[in-house]
Amino acid sequence: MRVVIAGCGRFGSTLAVRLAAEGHTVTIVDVTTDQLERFLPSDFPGRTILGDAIDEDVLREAGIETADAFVASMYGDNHNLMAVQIAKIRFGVKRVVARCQDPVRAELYQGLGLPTICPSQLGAAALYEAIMNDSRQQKDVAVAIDQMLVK
Amino acid sequence: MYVIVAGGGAVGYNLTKLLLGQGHEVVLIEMDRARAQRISDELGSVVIPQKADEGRWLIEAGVERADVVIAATGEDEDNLIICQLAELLAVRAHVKKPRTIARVNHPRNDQVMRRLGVDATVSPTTMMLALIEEELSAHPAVHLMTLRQAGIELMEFIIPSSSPAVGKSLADLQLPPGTALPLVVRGTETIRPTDATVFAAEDSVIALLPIDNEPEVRELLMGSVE
Repeated sequence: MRVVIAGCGRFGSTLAVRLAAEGHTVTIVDVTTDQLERFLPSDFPGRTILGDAIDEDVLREAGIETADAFVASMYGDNHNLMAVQIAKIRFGVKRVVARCQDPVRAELYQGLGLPTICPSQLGAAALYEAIMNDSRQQKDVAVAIDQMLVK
Repeated sequence: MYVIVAGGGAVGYNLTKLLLGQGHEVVLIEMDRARAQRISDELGSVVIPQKADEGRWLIEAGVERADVVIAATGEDEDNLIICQLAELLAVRAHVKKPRTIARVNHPRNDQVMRRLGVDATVSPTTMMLALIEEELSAHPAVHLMTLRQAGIELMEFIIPSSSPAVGKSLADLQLPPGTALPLVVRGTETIRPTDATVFAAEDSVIALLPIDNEPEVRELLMGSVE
């Protein structure tokens, strides 16, 4: 799969590394080299692009026109929501997903056909399990999140 | 009119003040508490000191009965989401969607924001560029407004003396279907053109036209680009 990831923080970089390790073609975009250097291992096999992922030129440079999937995991919800709309509506990328911390926005846009992942809700659920239940259930939740992040 | 303004910076604050002065009902949403307080001290309790991109605050601001929502924050992506949320919340409440207007800080985002559902965009940079073009070129064609949903552009053309339209009547011009010319300004005279109206050099022609027809209309009214 050819995947373009916007945002090289913990989320984006973790995903990028995993996908690249599985053999997918990964391009990750970030506005600062700082983030790219900080979160990606030095032997990262994918491509890195410096730029803002809501800029069509930057997306084109990142290979959006032939991408199978686009993940928006930049800092702001709105930034991510705007980026996935550009990817889907402007460039016709089949699979898109936006990281969206606000559960209300996450649900509203999910309802419009734009997949969203809400880490605050997922995280809160996991934390809940951690304090309320035993370790076996904790492990189940971790596996579930793991699978959800790369669907 | 009931207007919601998102963003209490120079633009949002002044817009709120002007609209209130005109007798409209306005609610301003500004996330910086200190600024929100200063504005409400001056203009009255019309400010919600919260983030406008949270559905909860848009609802509290009365988005379900707003006629217009203006997103005037400093970030384009925030302005886009505010406009989209306003529309989504109205649809969810089964009420008429408000007209959405977004300030666009980066011209490259102008088109995409309109494509993603914002009814009207205001881009200071683009506007200044248009004014500069007007200064540089003696015979500009200026985009005044885009009516996105109707696919129509409102433009002003100043007819150059070299134009093929000079000396021709409106009927002669054979403008493409869908073109409307509501007004021609000739010096200090305003004319409601009819088919018989003959065009003169320096006429300022206001035209409504389908966006796709712009090149053709431009050619008929202005002539070819030198």
